Amino acid sequence: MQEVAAEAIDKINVVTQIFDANPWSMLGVILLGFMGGTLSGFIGSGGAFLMTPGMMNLGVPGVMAVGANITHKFGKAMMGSKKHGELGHVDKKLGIFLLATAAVGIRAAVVVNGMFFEKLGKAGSSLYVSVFFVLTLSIIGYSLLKDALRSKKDPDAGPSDKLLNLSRKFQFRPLVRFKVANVEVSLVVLLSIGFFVGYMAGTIGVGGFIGVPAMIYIFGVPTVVAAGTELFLAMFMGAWGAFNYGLQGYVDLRLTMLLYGGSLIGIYFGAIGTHLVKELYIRMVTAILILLCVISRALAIPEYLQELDIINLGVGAAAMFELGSKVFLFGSGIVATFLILYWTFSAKSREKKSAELGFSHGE
Amino acid sequence: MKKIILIDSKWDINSPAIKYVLKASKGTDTEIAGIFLAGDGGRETLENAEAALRSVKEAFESDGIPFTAHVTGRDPKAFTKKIDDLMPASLVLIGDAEFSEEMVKGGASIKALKERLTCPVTTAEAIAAGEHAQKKTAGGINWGKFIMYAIGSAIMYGVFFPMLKVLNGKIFMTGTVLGALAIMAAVVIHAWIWGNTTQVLPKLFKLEK
Repeated sequence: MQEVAAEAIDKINVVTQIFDANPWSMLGVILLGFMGGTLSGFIGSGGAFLMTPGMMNLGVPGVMAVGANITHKFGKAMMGSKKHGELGHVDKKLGIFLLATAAVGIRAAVVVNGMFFEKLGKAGSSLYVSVFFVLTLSIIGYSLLKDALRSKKDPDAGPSDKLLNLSRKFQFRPLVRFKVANVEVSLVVLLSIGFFVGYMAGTIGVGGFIGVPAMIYIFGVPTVVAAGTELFLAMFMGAWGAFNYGLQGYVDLRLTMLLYGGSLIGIYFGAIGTHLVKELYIRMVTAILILLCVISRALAIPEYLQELDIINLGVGAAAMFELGSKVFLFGSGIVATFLILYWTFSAKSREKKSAELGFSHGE
Repeated sequence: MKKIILIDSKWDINSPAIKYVLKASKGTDTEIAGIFLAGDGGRETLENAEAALRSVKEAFESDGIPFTAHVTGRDPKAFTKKIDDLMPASLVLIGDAEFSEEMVKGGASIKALKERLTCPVTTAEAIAAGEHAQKKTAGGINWGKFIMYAIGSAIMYGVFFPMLKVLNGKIFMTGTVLGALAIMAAVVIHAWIWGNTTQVLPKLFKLEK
């Protein structure tokens, strides 16, 4: 009982200790929120791939960084859905089917993540989140980059149908028909994908990067419906994730509020950028940034291994890995955010010039 | 002098695209390069195209707007070369023009033009949609509402945030159902107040009307 109480006190104090030791880390969280928000507005979903590891770089345990991030995602998706309601590109039936197992996936992720924290402490939790992050996001980042380069060569190339053709070989019955998306998907495939999306969202706070491509490449859902359905999912998954992490006592609202401090400013600039900047640039930025975040997280792993006494690094080597990880993450985030803002403002200025001719781009 | 390249297959003087170009270029030192995207290279088609362009050219020139007429078939290479020959331009506008499958495959689609050209490339539909969206978002800043939300935000960050050090131990981080529900409620309220405060920023930076 005493141990449980001690654990609870530690969870509550960990963020206070970080902020007391270095008050600038509060500004760091706001900056992470701003970069994450700008990216999230610009690429439609995401931002978590930067915010979660960024908070871990500032010393927040992995489980609490994910908890703060998924809670932040919930409120942000609510604000986003206010605007999205007008679009109507949502297959609610598909969303509900995915949500059914995504909720189980999130719950499983919270339990596993919490288990690492309780058994191995802060370093164990951060190591687990980092390894999962590197493994999954390196595949996603590579696929996105490959797809963007393919589009660069052939601007009219549609989504690759390799996975769609493969998934058609696994059309186990029963099949479920979705009217809005105009697809028929095997219930087994559908529920498996839902579980994995939920597990990813619950483990590293990133769900859309699997959900949207899965809907497009595996189910054959049109891109616009996939993006709309993902937003619908994000709100409920965020709410469920926030509730579950809150139920385990891992959500420190101070982190969430500081993230909002920057993200709800950045998100509006990023969203405006999507109307002004070429789609290819958007996809390239996303892919490169994800891969840089993967490198940053990979560089952080030796530090956690040392804390767990699995490896023994010299003082200089440990400091170098830590610095490298921070430089990669904050450097790439700052450069990407600067690029987005630069493109947005310069495209707006070009648009202003063509507006002098009486035109606006509605690209 | 500015230049607008207008691509159309019908050149109906009453079409929205031509009306826009006429309105936009009047008295703005702009010249128009009109491209008739003909269905085929047949003699009759070309003659019809030239006749249609002639009447549009007269309409533009009567308003003092220089107009050059060009006709091209649907061969992707010929079309791309024609566009390149007419560059540099301030804007490429696609009116009532259908890009055939052969053109799209040959890299002469609207998307390919947007990727390749440095000037804005847009369609008549996009202009109409843009104007519609502008009307919807226009309206300036509601300063009364903004001040109300800004005060709310100041309370959230100035009063509520410092209290979290204590409140976390008492409710938010207790790991109970009540604690989890309290987190969700606080997040909804904060996101709403702060989100409504910050949404005026794009208007302040003149990124939105």
